[in-house]
Amino acid sequence: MTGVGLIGAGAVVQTIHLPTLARLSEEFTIRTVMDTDPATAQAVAARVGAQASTDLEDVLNDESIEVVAICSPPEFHAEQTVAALRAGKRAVLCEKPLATSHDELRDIAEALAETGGLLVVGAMHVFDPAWTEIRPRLGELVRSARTVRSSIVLPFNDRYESRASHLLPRQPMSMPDASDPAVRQAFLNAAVLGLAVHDLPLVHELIGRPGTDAEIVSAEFLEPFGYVIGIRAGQTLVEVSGLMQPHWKPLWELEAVSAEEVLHVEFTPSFVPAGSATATITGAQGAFSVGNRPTNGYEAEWRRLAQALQGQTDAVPSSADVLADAEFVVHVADRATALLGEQVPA
Amino acid sequence: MRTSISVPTQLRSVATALAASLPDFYSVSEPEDAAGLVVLDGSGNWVAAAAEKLSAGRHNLLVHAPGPVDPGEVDTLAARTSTIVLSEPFAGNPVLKNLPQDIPFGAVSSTALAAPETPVERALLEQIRSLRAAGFTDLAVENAQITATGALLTGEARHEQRLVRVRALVTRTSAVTPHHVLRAYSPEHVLTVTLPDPATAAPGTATLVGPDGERILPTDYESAHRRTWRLAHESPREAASLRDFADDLRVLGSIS
Ligand SMILES: NC(=O)c1ccc[n+]([C@@H]2O[C@H](COP(=O)([O-])OP(=O)(O)OC[C@H]3O[C@@H](n4cnc5c(N)ncnc54)[C@H](O)[C@@H]3O)[C@@H](O)[C@H]2O)c1
Repeated sequence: MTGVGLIGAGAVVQTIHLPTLARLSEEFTIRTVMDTDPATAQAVAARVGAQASTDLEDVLNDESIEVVAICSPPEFHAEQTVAALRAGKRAVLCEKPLATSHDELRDIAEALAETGGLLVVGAMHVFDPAWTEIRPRLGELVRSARTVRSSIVLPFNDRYESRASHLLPRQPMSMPDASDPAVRQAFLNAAVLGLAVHDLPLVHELIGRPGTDAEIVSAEFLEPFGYVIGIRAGQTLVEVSGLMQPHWKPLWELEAVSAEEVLHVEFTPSFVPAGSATATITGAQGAFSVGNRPTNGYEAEWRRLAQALQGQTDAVPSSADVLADAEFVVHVADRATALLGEQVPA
Repeated sequence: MRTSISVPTQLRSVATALAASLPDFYSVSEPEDAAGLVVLDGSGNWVAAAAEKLSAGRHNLLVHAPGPVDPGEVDTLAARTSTIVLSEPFAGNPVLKNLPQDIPFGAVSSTALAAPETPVERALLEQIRSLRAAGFTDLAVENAQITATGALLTGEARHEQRLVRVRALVTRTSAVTPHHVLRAYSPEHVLTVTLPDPATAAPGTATLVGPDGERILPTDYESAHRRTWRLAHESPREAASLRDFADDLRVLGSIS
């Protein structure tokens, strides 16, 4: 049984990681729940019979904790990942985004190289059973895709969170004035690092992992909270869009089109355990479809981490790919935000 | 009354099939002199061909799948006649005629998968045309990326006096039959319209998702071309305007 320490115990822990780890109770046990807010730490720890703490060191110094899951706000991810690796933890599962800047990624790369620790990023679509099953069949779609489209249309999170668990009360979020260009830039940045980030590793793989060579050609913010970003990687054109609004129907798609094949993936929404995506490749020979599995990427990311800890290192993406994908995410966020800033409002 | 039509050789099988689905309206005939309607192939310089036919006294003209031509020449043609029918593969789809117009859309996306032999420029024009037919007009393109096999556009259009953000993606592929998918977003609604391969009578579909759930608008198993041919006989005044077509060609010209 592997001991787990949770850093940050907000919505993602309450709705996603606790229910998921409860299904994997033969593999993992939660030893400590750490949150800078003592009431949150205590309430969440009490749900699983773990210790509560407001001090990261308690987790880092506890040798019975081999895996640290970092679920704090994004600005702390890199620093806490490095601290956990340097404390000798066997593995870190860091919620997305892994980092918010190239400098942070450099620190993580150094810590990984020096410690040999295992790093998994909670970009759950990378682990979605449908994506895992379709990947070996991507063939010519990788690198020779002519266009790639990542499109996310989702109702706001509260529609799902409250169905996934009993959420502790949260501070109400105040919505800043989106007519202010600086606010729009901040929203766009947050939207890439918070929402687009789920599928950017998949997009990155499909376009042959060009990293920072990919050109960000257009960026816009959509009301009330969304984005459209154009990317060009050689001859491949990429449209990355997301929109959150009150209507009910989620539609979370990833599509890649090559000369002879179309890949179409439809993912289930976040938070609720609504099963896997469905993924279909269509070509002259007909269609090949996988998916409709009962579990989603949240469960798979923990299961595959367990397999990696048992020595099956290829159960999770390599550190090199994880870092390259995170560099791409930061590149898209930085360049899109800068492009939006350059646009003079009409 | 049945109209006899003359068609160029390359369109003969298409026209024969269309006429066979409207047997009370049309029959394919030779020679051209006897024809009540002259069909022109929109893949070449159809605007020059149309001008020639007009000068030769042929006034009832139908252009099948009109492609990119010079917008100025289309304006000149429009000044000479109002009886040219444009039979368009996607914009002519009946589903586009009954879309809800009272929803305050703020953004629209269009995804087109085109046949491998369709030039990107033509595929883009067909996309701009289907956006217009769906009510999104006066497109102003702000960023365009064009490759030999695809295109990615962002810009702004008008829908019922409101400005709407537009994005469009085109890909040439043999993987699936050509089709378009339009999605329009308002704060409370998402309208999804699919425009199928014009070679089939598979219906275009329109689905509206809103606070009350999801509604599928009525479907009509009529291809875009059959609808246009039928209306050309029943009520010729409903034909798409040449001037709008010229405007859309200018949008295309601003990109490529
Ligand atoms: N994979 C997914 O589907 C998914 C979904 C939602 C959120 N997330 C990610 O999870 C992370 C947390 O999101 P959330 O929705 O739970 O946010 P949240 O605001 O609900 O919770 C964050 C928690 O972290 C605590 N915290 C703040 N600073 C801390 C620090 N320095 N150390 C430890 N704890 C600290 C806060 O007190 C709070 O309880 C984010 O990085 C987000 O991107 C992932």
